[in-house]
Amino acid sequence: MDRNRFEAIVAAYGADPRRWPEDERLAAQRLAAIDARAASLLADAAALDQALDAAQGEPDVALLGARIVKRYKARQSLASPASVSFWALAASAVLGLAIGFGAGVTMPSAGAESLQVLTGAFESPFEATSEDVGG
Amino acid sequence: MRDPDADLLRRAASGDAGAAEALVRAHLRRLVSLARRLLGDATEAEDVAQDVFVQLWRIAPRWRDQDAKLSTWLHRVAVNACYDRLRKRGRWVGEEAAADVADAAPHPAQRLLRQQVAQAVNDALLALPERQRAAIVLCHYEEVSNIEAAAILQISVDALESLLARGRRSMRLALTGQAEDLIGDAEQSS
Repeated sequence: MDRNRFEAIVAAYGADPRRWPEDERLAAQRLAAIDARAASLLADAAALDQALDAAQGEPDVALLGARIVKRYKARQSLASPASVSFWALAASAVLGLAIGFGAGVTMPSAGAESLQVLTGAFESPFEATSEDVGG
Repeated sequence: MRDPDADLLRRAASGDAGAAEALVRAHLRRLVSLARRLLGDATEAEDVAQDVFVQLWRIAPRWRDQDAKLSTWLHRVAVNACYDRLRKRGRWVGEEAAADVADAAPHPAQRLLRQQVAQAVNDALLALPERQRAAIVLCHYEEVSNIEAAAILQISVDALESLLARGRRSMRLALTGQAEDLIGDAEQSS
């Protein structure tokens, strides 16, 4: 630990060794104990540290904490299996209504053709043929 | 060393409300305190802290133990959120403007009560460029280690020390001539 490095440490972290880099703390404390200039630097830094400490203030976060946990629980409730089933069912119902409504709107007349559109909507383009299954 | 918060987060991701509450209890006060000092606004600070936890619940299922410590992640997200708000407010003070900051600071009154001491210091802190302010808040007020502070700010330790030294120098100039009076007044009123 040389004086230049000690000065850099105090300039950055202040006079309290608890804030100094852990791996350099002991060496810095040893130098401070024997170097007169170091003691003067520490005194100056300590004055600013005390001024900074005067602006300490602990925020009261009890209500905020309760709100955050409440939002967490609400989020968990939406993601629960019961709610997933509910929303999946609701989505399916809405989708089914939309397809039925859309088919009714686009087809100018009812009859066999409209029936084909409706059934076609539920046929998979990738249905296996007898060739696929080796039949 | 295993991060104990990682276990709590894993349990919170699985729906354990107790684990979620423990995480909030462990970290919320520091996040609000950090955001308050960066933004100078208690309401905005609470909004930032709330948003940080919303993000945390969102990424919780994907958290991996080899990622950064949870406290580092939380602080980093909070600092970046504060920076975003400051930019939007048009209150971003870049390093290039730093030379003018101390000179433009108003000269404080000779004798201050304890509340005025705190106000003077807070004003000087808010006048700093954001990155210098963040460095001082993390290392002095939050007592985060230099290594963790550098990780939070995503800079090297050398760069962190440069920010700290410049920030402390600016604070000293802004409070110049008043430090001993401020401390003396604080001692008399305590």
